Amino acid sequence: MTLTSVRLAGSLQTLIDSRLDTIERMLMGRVPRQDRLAIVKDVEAQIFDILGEGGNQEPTREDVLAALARLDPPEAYLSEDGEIGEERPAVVRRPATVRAVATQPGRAVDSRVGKISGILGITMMVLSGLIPMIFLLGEFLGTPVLAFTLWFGYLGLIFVGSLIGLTLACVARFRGAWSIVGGVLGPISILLSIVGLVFLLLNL
Amino acid sequence: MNPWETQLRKGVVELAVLASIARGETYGYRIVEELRGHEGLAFTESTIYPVLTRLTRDGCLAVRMEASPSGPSRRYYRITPAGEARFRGMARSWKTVSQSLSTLIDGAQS
Repeated sequence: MTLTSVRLAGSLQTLIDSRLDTIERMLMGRVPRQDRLAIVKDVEAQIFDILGEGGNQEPTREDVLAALARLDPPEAYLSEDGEIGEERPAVVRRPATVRAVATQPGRAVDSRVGKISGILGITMMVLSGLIPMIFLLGEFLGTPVLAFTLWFGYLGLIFVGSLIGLTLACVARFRGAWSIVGGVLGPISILLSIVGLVFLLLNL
Repeated sequence: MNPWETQLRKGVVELAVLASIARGETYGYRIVEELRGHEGLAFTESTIYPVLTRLTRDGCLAVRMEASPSGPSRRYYRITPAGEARFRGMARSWKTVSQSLSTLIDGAQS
């Protein structure tokens, strides 16, 4: 295999660096830093070898993209079935801070979902507190059709909103204060909306 | 690829890598290319390179950097005495298991 010395324009090197950074991020938290750098170094050398095989001393953007396309996608380094997945038991030997980094992407998602759950829980709880006022407001509307539409719509909104909040809390696995708030207030709001709906149905 | 085949390949990747390096000092991409030439051993770089770093960490491989004609320096791997011992042990186990399995399979098919 004859390799040509490859010279890359800055923007093309950035393209390669971006791929290498992504691979490193995929390995972060599961593979020690020194090993990550070694893997990335091997991948970088491979990219240049592929470019060198092309015989073009100054590869174009298309050449670089074609070389990158020949590589495994960065996600392959996350594969549960791959060798990286096998490395997991080694986590036991790593410090807690590294383990925390390992789970950060999942936790970030959980945190966002948990926050939405908490906000929904609080909102639905506040709306539940306003149920008596909505009942009174319905009385002033005059026509029973409008009043029942308002009441059922309002209680239905609370029921659905609370149910979503509770579901999101479950999705977030009740991690963090927000999801606990959503998980606690959700069922209470659901219960209040059901009580309201039953009360309405009994008074139809 | 079915799950059984995946598990089997996972089990032999380290042996395949050690066998490749036991032939002489080499670098990552060359190992990938060499294994690609063997049916059933076509592992890609996302499998091979982490194995190389793990074997290095375990003291089975030694690494040196050398300038590459195509660009950045390459990591050249060579097997250490500990790696040779591991390779021999693994190769022995593999031969025993594969011979026993072959006997079993041949018996079942005859």
